[in-house]
Amino acid sequence: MNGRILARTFALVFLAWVCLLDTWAQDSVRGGVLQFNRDVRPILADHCYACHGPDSHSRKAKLRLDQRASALGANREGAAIVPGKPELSEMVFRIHNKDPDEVMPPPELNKPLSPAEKEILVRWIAEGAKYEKHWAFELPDTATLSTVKKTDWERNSIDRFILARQERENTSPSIPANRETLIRRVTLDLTGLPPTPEEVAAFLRDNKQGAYERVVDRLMSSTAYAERRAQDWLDLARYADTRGFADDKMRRIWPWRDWVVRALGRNQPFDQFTIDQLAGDMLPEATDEQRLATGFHRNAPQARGQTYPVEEYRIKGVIDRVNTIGRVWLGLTLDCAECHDHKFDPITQRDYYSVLAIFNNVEHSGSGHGQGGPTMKYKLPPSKQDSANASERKRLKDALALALKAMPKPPSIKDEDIVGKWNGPVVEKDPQKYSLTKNLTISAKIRTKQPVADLVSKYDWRGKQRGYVFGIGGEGDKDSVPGHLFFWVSSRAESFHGITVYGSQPVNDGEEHVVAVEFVAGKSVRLFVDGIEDKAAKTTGAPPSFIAKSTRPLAIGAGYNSSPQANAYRFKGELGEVRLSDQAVGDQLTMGAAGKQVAELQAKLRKLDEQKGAPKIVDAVPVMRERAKPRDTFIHVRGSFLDKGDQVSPAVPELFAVSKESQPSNRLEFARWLVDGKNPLVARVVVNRFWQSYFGHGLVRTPDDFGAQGRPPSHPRLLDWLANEFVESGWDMKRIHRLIVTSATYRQSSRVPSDASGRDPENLLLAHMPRIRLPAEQIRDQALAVSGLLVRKVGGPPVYPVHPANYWKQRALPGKWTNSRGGDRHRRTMYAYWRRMALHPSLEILNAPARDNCVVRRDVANVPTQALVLLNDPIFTEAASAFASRLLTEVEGTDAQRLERAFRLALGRSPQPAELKQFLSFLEHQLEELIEDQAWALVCGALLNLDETITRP
Amino acid sequence: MSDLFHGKPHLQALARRTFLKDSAMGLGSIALASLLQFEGHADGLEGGGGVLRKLHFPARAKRVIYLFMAGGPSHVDLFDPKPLLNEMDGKKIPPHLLKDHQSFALIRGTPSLKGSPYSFAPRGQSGIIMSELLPHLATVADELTVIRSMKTTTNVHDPGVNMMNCGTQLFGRPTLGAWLSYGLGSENNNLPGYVVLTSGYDDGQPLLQSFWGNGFLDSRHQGVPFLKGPEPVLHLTNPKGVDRNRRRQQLDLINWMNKRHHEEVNDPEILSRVASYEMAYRMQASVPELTDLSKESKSTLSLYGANPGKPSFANNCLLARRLVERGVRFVQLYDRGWDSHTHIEHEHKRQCGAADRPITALIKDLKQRGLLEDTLVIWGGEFGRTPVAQVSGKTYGRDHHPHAFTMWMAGGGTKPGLTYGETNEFGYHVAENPVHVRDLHATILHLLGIDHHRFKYKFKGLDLGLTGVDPSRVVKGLLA
Repeated sequence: MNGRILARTFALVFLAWVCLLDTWAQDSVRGGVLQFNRDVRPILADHCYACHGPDSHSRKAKLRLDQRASALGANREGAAIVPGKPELSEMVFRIHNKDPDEVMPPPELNKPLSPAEKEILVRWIAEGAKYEKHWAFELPDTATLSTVKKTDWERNSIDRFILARQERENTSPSIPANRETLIRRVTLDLTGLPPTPEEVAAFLRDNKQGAYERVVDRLMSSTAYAERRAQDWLDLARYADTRGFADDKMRRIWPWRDWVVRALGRNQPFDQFTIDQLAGDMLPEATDEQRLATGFHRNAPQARGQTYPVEEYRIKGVIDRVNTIGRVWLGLTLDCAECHDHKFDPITQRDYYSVLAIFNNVEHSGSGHGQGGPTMKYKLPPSKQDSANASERKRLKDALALALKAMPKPPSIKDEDIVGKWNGPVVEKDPQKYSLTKNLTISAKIRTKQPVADLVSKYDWRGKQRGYVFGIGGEGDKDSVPGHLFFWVSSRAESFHGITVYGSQPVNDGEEHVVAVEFVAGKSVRLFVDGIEDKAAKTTGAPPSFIAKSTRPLAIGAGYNSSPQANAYRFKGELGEVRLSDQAVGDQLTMGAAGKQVAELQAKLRKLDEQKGAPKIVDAVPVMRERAKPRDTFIHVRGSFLDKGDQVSPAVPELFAVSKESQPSNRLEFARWLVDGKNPLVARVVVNRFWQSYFGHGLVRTPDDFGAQGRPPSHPRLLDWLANEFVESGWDMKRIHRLIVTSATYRQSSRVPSDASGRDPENLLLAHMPRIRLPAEQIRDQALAVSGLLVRKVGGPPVYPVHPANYWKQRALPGKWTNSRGGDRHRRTMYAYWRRMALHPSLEILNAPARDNCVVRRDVANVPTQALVLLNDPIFTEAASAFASRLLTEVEGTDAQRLERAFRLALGRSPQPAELKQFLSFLEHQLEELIEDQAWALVCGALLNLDETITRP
Repeated sequence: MSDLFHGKPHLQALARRTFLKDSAMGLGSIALASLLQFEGHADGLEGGGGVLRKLHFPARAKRVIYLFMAGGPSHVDLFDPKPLLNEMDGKKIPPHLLKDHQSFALIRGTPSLKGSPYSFAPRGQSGIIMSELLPHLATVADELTVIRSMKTTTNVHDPGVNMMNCGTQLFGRPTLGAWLSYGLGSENNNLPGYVVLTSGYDDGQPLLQSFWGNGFLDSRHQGVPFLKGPEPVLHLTNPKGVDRNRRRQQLDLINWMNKRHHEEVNDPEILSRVASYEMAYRMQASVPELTDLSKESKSTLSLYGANPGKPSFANNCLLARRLVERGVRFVQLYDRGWDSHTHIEHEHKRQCGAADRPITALIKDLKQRGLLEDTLVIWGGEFGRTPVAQVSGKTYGRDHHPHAFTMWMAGGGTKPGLTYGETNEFGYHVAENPVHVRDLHATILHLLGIDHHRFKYKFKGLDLGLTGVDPSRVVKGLLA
């Protein structure tokens, strides 16, 4: 031992001794043995891991303090840590050093240790420097419930954990909230809407056991419940109606949003919910619903510029997917490892890109503004109106079939009017013949199953010899419908100038049909099937005043694929009675009264089809689809996609200790791995967020960081119990939500105890229920509900609530917002058009996120612009006026009775006498100058602005 | 914040507690403990409510006006003459310039050098060189600190603006104004501390919400964009039939109910709400007073070329002075229309024509009111423009150029009359004294009394700041 070490040892023994003495004297709370996870890791992580932690690139002196083996070295004197011997530990020497070259952490890091932190480190080494695995990476404990002194409080096991900690820290729960508060709380929480006065009254009347539970069950089975839960998921999924970036164009991903509402409504188990969304497209025999579910990861912002390097912005989308998985399922800040090994958690850059390799195989195509990923045509599920229409349609169809059966044999063109007649396929020899130039009528008797065939043609577009052609399936043209009649006529041979007509019904059903067309030059075209005019035929263009002369011979039952051959579109089947007239004699072909009846039935059917309203098929819904051949994935050195490091293969982060053989190789296997019930994080992370939606904060207050830098859980055993309960129940989401809202903890009063700010300012012990300002959507939804304006239609394309005029223009943004009219003006706010780069300003001001990335918790600030929105935004002034007129029309009585109703609608309670007096005198004063409606609108506006109104009690 | 509750110490304490409650997660319990001891104004700070208890250095600037020339002005046409560029006009770009070069944003193929058609001359006693496009600015040359050696990291608009505002190309990070609001709080209790004003040509690049975003900071630090229409702040005006008096009566009823409810549930947040409704009421008076330029003297109006009621960049410059005069911490003006890919001669003439006089007026006006001393004025775009032409012939323009460009500052402790840094002979790359955007940010914070290394916010386990993890330094040479 040289002199320096000797001196150092003496100094340190003394120092350590002084420190320990000091600690024990001052801090009796910490009398017990230190716990690495609770007491030590946070200090090491914050002050040391940056250079002596998991990141291999920034590691100094080859020392890791996050791993005991490295910290102890060969376990001899002078190692960073010598267990039990602080005086011999280099770390202790360094942290107390005054020499700027020796002291740790180095001054330039600006992370000095406080005296208290130094003491903890010294004591921890003295106590043997025991490490623990980070709590969140251990499987949840199967905890037994603690015993508690107060035995008459608990309603379910949640309460035992909450009470146990309260008793340990000498506090006790608040009294239960009164019933009016309780039903308002649970209705707002579960459905995002206030209870109606009738619902409140029914609950107050229900004195039987289980009244509250009955309310909970009623609420949880409502669609509003699914909508409210979906709203939280939309934040996590960064759902928006636009693609993001400067371009920020709309995309049709709202069917995915409606899928979420349906999935949560039927309480799809969370494991299936996960698998469908991450990899539904890869499931064997995936349904449309499962493919639609994968829209989850297509919510990632997607640049569509022309100047961007395409690959860079494709990669940005994939990175967003990996980061979102990290935040939503794993509660890990994976994003830190995009550019380098994680500084605090055991996640390497290799881990990061191994996960990225799993999500890197989705198709990506197009260029410039057409860039994007896979899409699907999504068929919307039928609505109630649809099923009503369906039975009516069946009735009409049956009647139509009967009427058709009763029809006499349809006529064909009279002999005296024809210029030619044929049976079976034939091509005329003389090409000059039958070049009709004005009117014409053709009829024929057919029996075929062919989708495409010409009947009568003097029309060869490939050879630039156009004239007229009548047949089935329009020669395969993109606007035609296979199996339906068509007729083309052009006044120019070389290019098309004329009209195209496509029939509305198939004629290739293998039955015999008499089909006909009548062309009146410059006037009209009519198609006939079995003696009935096809009034729903689609025409494009105008009837020309003459027909071009085609040099092709007239072909019956054949067409021309290229001149001069005449064998394309050959008719197969029975073809007879083909008659051609040079006059407009369509009237000869109709069928009188019987035909009229059929035509009427057909018209009714058509009308029914038109009533369908919104399109039933939604085009181009973004979804996931795996490439046949996976892309090669490389580590991006320092996060640059151009700087390729090692190639990586799909794998989960090493910390999860998955063997090589069981590594997931694709999205589906990865999704199944996430929810196999053996992951230490997933269930905890999810139930923690459920908890957060009712208490404002999770049991872990950093809901997306369960790692070393996150906050440890306030009630670790409760978190574990809930996580186990969740998995064991088969990932039953409603079960966990129900457990939470039926607990005694949830039913406490929200009055803040007078000593709370000193004793437990963060309310970690939950000795009272926190009050929570409503989310932006619920502030508007409630105003609409209270005023009677709310339209409860579920799902569909986004709607456009009232928006300040020219707002986008003033903000120098392209596009124009057109306020929705009719019912859509007053739909639930979750259906509002969500533009990433310019959210509806009132929602933005009320702290709704623009969702340009995954949001795990909204921050709620209290700023004056919110007051301006609630007081002056037409959304809210309109609601106040509607609320007022509702009171004036619905309540025929005194002003006091109206106020009673107003309070019950807005606050779910009656006014107290003093409040009634105050409001009446305000009203009276206003009525001196204002008419009744205006005065009441001010009253109602005041009610909608109360803190009590916009806060979940 | 202390001004907000002037004379109401209990509200002050409550508001602070509420604030702490909100931000406790970000600060960590140790910081929380030390903040709880904080009473009164921070040392060296006017106003309050910021997290910084004490400035790291004496502040040279107390507020900032940032003139953002959105789209990117051309340095070689305004501040950085290059004789060789003019000489070689029309020749293909020398290959050595394309080393270490990002691909062009829009130019394809090998472009040709394009000289500047403008004459340049030294201005003022300091001899700062400017082109003939800026005749007014020439008269205040001796107030400016011109940086010819700016560098940024991207040639794409919105990531470029993010870089200038947030120090990163990413979305979702706090902007400079949000950082200052977070750190220093506000000096005015009737107005937002961070105001954004926009002007210019509607066909320019769009201005995104994130350009004045609060990122992960509390949303009260978000910039408030003043709109050009009759209502500068959304919903400032009471609905028809509700005058100020009636609104007062309604607010009294709301407050009466809120205070009553506070007695019942004892939640301090309710008193914060009462306070924010009161501030909204005051803003309804203070903002129209503020934005009413007709109160300004004729000579001031003509100095700026401002025309009350007709939105313009000139009006915004005058409004900026009125804002900082009232203690608003950070005012950012976006002037659109500088993105001249074609017709640059026409477009830059138009932009300079609209901006030159009002900017000059702003500097003169701030100076004569004694405000320039502690108000930092910053001018610049998200990048410069290429010394090569995009499109040849008369309709030529210039593409985005991140490798070298010019910005300038004035007042607030910068060294007046200075030209800093050099570009190479073509104005293509920085040749001497490079100033990266991060260095500019470090310098701006320094002028405001903040050490960029020590001004951090814990987010997702990281200590994040304006200048990020890549190297950044205070450019001492720019300081007075």
